[in-house]
Amino acid sequence: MNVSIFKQGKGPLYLLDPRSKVMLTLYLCVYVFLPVTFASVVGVALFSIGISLYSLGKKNTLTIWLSVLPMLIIMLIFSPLYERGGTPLWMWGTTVVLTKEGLLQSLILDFRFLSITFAWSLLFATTKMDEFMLALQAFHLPYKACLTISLVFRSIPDIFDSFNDIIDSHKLRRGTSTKVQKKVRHRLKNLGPTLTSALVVSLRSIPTLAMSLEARGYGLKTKRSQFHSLDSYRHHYLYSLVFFMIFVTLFILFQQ
Amino acid sequence: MKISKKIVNGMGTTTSALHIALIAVLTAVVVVFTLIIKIPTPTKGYLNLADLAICFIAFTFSPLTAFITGALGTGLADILSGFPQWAPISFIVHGLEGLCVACIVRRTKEQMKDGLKVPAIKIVFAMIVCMVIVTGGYYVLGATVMSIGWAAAAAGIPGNVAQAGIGVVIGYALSRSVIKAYPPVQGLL
Repeated sequence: MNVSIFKQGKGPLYLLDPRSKVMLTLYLCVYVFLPVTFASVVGVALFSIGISLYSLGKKNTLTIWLSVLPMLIIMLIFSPLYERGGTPLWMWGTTVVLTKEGLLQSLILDFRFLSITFAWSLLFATTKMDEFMLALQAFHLPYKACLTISLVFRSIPDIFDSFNDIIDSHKLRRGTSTKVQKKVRHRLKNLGPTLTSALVVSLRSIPTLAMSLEARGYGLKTKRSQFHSLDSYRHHYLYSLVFFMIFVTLFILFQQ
Repeated sequence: MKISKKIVNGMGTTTSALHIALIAVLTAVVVVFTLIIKIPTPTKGYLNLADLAICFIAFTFSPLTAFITGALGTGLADILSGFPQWAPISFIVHGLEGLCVACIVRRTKEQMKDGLKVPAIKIVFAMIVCMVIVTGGYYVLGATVMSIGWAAAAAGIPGNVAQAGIGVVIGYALSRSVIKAYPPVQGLL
């Protein structure tokens, strides 16, 4: 199982300090919710897509876009029904189906959602997980929390593998597939022992993990050293300030 | 060698280390349960076993453990499965779900050792609360914070109701069978 979402690519986002990238993502998410013009929301969305095309390439950008496409279509179809006031564009008899304001509102929602999607996807696709954790630590996320998340990423492949092994062994015990096993009810019933076994295997690893944590010095009062650091990145505060100023300027220019 | 906390549990480790290990493994379990079985929904989201795992944790461990593992596990699963924009919402909704269900069905260690069942009325109440939190949370936060609109957010309601309801029932059954199969689980905080 692959637990890395980092994608190899090119462009300034890969060179940017992870702390600045986190701030940039947050600024962008806040900006699209501010009372700004439709054109500026579209601009931000297109900018995010453009950056994604440049940094991640066509294939990855298309994957991100396709993952939210059905949601965008549903939003575009149903959201105008909630906004019936304004200039009618389409009427069904005497009933107003679509108005200009409703369509505009729906498009704003779509582009806002696209901006948020691409902002978060770009953050995780261009930042290695250990650097992201260091960035969170720089924002004063406790060491305990960071250690827990690291352990989670370490545990996922093991649990996933043991889960698959257990599924296979339960299948072997049941023999070859029959008509009965194809029924949903029976498949759900068969899932019970599999899930129980998988959980027991996972829970058994907890005391061992706790002991190995202590064997490696967890709980000592002395602060532990770290192999990775964000020292190679420079001017984090400057970049964060520049991004902030850009979004403030955009807000002044495009506020409604 | 100074250790910050004394040995207080029966596992031969400090409470702090055991708690970290417990949270990490249970969070990984939530992530795996979320990712291993996916049933696609019309909104290109997916139904999964996340609620089942969270409810199992809520029935077996403390409310705080259920809150942290539910929040962190589903948030990480969203990030790993390519829906990072939903992670903050999953973090809040499923964290709250674990906390509330665990508070409702909470039993003492002695009651669990005696094999005391959770009363049916509590399970039904937990199921209703779980459905309200998950469905309402995704509906309201999806429409407002994610800005997908009320109509699109409503499309996910049936799936979330089913997922949360089934999660509580199977989560409880799973909790009982795991305690029976592996009794030392009661010593894990």
